[in-house]
Amino acid sequence: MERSSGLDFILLETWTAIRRNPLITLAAMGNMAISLAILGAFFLGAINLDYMASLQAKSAFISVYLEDKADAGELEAKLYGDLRVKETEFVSKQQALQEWAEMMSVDPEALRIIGTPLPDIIRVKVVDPNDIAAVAEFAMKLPGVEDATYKRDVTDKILVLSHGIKVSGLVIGLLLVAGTMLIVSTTIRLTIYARRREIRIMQLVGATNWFIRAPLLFEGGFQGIVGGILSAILLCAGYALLRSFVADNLQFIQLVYSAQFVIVFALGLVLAGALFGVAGALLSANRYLVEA
Amino acid sequence: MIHMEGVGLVYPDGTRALRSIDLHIERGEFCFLVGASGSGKSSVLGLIYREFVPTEGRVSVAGQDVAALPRKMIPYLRRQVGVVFQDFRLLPDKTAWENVAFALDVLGASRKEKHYKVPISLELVGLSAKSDAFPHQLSGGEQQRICIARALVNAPPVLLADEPTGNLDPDVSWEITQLLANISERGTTVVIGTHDKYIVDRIHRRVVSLVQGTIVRDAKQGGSYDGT
Repeated sequence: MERSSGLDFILLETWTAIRRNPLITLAAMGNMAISLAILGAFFLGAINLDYMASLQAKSAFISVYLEDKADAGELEAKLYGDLRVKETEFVSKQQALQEWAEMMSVDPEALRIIGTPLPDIIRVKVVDPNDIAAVAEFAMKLPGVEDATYKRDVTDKILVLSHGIKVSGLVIGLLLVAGTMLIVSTTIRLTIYARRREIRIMQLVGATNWFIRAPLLFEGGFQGIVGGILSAILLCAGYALLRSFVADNLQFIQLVYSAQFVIVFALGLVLAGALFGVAGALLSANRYLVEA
Repeated sequence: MIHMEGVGLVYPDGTRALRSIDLHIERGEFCFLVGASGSGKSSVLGLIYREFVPTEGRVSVAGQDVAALPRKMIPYLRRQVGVVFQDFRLLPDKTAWENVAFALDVLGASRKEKHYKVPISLELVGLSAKSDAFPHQLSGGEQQRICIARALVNAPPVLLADEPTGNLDPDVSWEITQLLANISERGTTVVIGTHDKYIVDRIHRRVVSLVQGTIVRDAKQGGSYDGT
């Protein structure tokens, strides 16, 4: 006789469990939504801080001051030839004076009369901000170079901050994931408790452990997906509001924002919800089945 | 069909439940395990469906060494052994038909298979007319019949019943016992753990008496509760 996979029975059992315990299910979804929203908010914060830090770090440059008789073209070619260097820009002493005058609000014509004390400069931007110190050192050693400087304090601090954000993001993220899974796992334990009679009968009539687990995993996954959708709605709406507030009031801050980013972020939350839901359910189901 | 040799059982808390049990029950046999509460009846039954693992000796059911069975194979043993309990263990939100079908559902049976086997099982226990009733709409005897139908729906070669008449009045107890005897006559090995003297003395079948975890008497034919 033809045998089905039992999928229809598993789905029916899942739906019955959800309907039978609407309060537990709602509590689980709410817990999951809040946990994922915290996790997601932290992720958004970390990704934006990292983005801003990398923007700052990338805009950092080395000012290579040339001696009077140095061959600027040759030096620029040497610097540009280094693989760590992204771009070079030659700034003549006249241009440097012009920039300085503009910065200090002084008439450049007046300065031209007294002559310029500034040297020619080559501005060097690097591919990886972490290489900035090494490239500055390399430039210093080239003949014809008087000095090579960059905003050491600011750039180094930004690099440390960026690294710190990544490490702490990972640690806190993992803690939040563990917390979220614990919540789902506890909720599924309540479901198992509510369904212990069925589970016991299933064991007695010879259901395999996977057959007993399946409705619980589906239930955990379902709770996770709904929790993920709720948190995605909450965070995407909140993030859009934050972005418009920042655009109106804090123009110096640039947030990571695009339709593609928002869609991927929302899908990521839903997927994370499903995964945490299934993993939490598996944790509880396995523990129960081993004990039973 | 069921063979126990030198079987001992000590629970994790250190309580000794059984000692030196030698018991052989053949295919199609109808056998009572009798004794006071705590004498070891449920422990013997539990060893047969691998609720417990013997701490000494060997248990085999339908040719399988039960103790050596890997954990993942236990469900397949239990498909060979139907179990009936004193407290029925029916699902209150499912009808009689659904309760019986549940034993097929969890094995992934098709709709066609269920519609073929469930009515046969309900007819066997004489409850075809009440297939749509929920457990709370049925009497104790009827609930026990549903429980027996569920245990039999997969046609297991062994049927175990742990105090099946414990919650029933004498007339209904006798009906249930007769039903189990009929099932045995169809070739199913039936083992009943009970302290119901009335049914044991009335049916005159094999009676194995247990006292403090040891077999003290095994009356193969025409046995009575206290061997008198």
